[in-house]
Amino acid sequence: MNDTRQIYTAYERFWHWFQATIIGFLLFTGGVMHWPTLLGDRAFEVSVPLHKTFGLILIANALFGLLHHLVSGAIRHYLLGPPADYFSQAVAQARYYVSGIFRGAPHPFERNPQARLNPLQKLTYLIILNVLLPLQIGTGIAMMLVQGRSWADLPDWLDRGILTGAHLFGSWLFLVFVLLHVYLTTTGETVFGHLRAMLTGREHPSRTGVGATGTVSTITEEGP
Amino acid sequence: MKFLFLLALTWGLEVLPSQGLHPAVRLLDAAGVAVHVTGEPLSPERTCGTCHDVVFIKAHNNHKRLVLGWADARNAVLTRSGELELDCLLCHLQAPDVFSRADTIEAGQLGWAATATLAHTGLVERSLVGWAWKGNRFSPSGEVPAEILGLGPPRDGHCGACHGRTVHAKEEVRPHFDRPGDTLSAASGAVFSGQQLRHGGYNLVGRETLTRPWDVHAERQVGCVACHLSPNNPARRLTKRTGEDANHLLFDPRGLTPGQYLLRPSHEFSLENPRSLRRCQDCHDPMLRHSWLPYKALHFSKLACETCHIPKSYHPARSEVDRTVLTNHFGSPRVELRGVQWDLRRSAVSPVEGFEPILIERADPDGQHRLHPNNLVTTWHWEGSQPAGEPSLDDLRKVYFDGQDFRRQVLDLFDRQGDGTLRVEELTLDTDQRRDWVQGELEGLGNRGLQLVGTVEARHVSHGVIGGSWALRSCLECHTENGRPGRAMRLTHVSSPLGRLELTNGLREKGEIVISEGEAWFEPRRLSPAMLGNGAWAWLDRYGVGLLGFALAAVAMHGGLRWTGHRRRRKGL
Repeated sequence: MNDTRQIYTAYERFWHWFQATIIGFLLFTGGVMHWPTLLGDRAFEVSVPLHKTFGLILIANALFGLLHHLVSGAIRHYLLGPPADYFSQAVAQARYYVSGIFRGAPHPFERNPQARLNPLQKLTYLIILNVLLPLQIGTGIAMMLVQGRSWADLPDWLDRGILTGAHLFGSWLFLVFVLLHVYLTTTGETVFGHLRAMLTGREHPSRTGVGATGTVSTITEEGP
Repeated sequence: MKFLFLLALTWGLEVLPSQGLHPAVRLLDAAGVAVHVTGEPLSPERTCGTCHDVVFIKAHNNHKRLVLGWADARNAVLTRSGELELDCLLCHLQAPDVFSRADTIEAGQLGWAATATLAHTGLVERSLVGWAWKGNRFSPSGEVPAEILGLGPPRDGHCGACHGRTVHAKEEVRPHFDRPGDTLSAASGAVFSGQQLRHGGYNLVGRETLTRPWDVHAERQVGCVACHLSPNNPARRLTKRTGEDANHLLFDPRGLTPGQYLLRPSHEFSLENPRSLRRCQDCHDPMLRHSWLPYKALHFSKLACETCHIPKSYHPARSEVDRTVLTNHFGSPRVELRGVQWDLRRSAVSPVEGFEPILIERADPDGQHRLHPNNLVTTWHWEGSQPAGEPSLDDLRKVYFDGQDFRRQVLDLFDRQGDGTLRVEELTLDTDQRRDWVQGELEGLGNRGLQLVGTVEARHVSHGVIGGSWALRSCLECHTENGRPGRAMRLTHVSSPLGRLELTNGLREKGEIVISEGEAWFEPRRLSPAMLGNGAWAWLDRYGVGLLGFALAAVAMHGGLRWTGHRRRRKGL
């Protein structure tokens, strides 16, 4: 253990796995609600209140995460940096994923506790945290209010159909994101290297060097 | 002590007069003279008008228009004598003889119609010229004792005489489709009875398990007048005022005294009048029940109570009425029923399956559009331009009948089995030859511009209410791609008869007619895409599955290339 260093704090790891569990439940219960005949009447009946409850928990956890990143300064991991530098770095990272990784080339960026995200991870999280998650939370809350009749009359352009469609669209994107996220956790030096780091919080310095890490998955696990 | 009290109470109830409080009545003729003296027909208006304000009642009575209009239609082609009066006895006599009354009207003896209603009382008997009064049933002062007439408020049987099947718990619900006045039952399958379905005279499929009553309100002694009430009845009036000037009042203490009401009782039982119709919410608060239902307010804003509480009609109802043909010389049209396997008119043991009402959106008095259960009835008729409208029943009789028998040409044209008789199913204009022949005959009688049209109308299903586990509770009844809200209802064969099918105004914007495998169906408009599970977003799902598949393929390819590269490096290639 002496030759390892801390990448994720205990709270960040707890936050990640808790959020992952909630997203899994949301996708599952949402699927049951969207295809009610999938598991039958009882599953549908139970899924409706559960989905709402999990949604509220996710919102709370997201807010706690935001607060943590603001207070601890960890939000710096998500900032893209100067555009010129960022563009060239993103191209280098993309080239690694489409060719270098197959040849065993070194990773273009070293991961360390001060800079955990590679340029493509930063961009991904910029979209996830600023577009997709707000879309899901916003449409979810709006549907809850409409269904609970708190908003009796919606404007014409924002009827429940549009809310449902947008929420469903976001769900499909989240499902695709989860698939890619899980796959990219395997792009470390070993297949389970990144997974181990997210479980223990520690990583060997030599394994975080160039060519050994810096995959999208590592940062994805950190989450918002 | 408690036992003695209950005994006294029970005894007290038993000795209460069953005929109510109405005093003895002097029956008067149109001139205001006692009928047993003059022998003239009874005048309900003069008789009842002695104590009740008949002018007011006639001015506040939508039944008057309906009853008199029906009678006019029934004897339009017959010889008429006398005038038909509004018959108070029809609804207020304990045992009105509706059949004798109908026969008298059909015979054109309109003036005797009200007298015929008394046939069961023994006060009158048929005579050569009409009806004769039996003087020995009258008291020495010329009055009829109250117990003979049994006058009082209408009971379920009175309403059922015209509107549909209302059956006392001790009777057996039996199929009687040829009896007159089955309108509500025939149109919507309504049966108002507290009897359990398994005990009826129907050959209901799975009847041994049908332990529910025909209607839960009837079972619990809530009669017709509890909901279809006189707007100014102080005992039953709705406590909340609906007028714009006083809609803030939860209770209006101003009202008629019983005496004032009996003098001038309103008879406006219009379904459109919110003060004469007690709706579900006037007695029940759905928000206090249905604890299992999520988003109660949303569900109740989209669904009428009847949608879940009348999940099925176990009484067959009309699906088609074909007025282009006559099945007998009385002028009866060909009628097709839904919810029954064979023809109930020919076989009382025909298995009855009942039918599931179609859900159609309509505006409620509160302005909210909700789904309501309906039966769809297609009425085939000729539509002419000269004279405008439908050819008269008399013209149709001339086309099909020679006296009481079918014309020779009709037998030749319609008798497919060649047995010399015509069965109901043979009587349909399903070929060009039959349609053109009938059209030609009608044109020969002066009808011009004839077109054979089938109009589809929705008949609201509002009786046959049930609660508890018999009501719909399963979410999947609605929240599936083929859920109830979007489920179609069969209308007719497309070629039987050969005509143009069209929706009535109320239905046109609610859905469309679709043709499938030679049958016409009404398909309701798809509801909001926000409704879970209704398949409205199937197209988005297709894109989603495509995107997920693409991602999976990309992952598989990327992973495969990584694995291949790893193996090559290990081998030092």
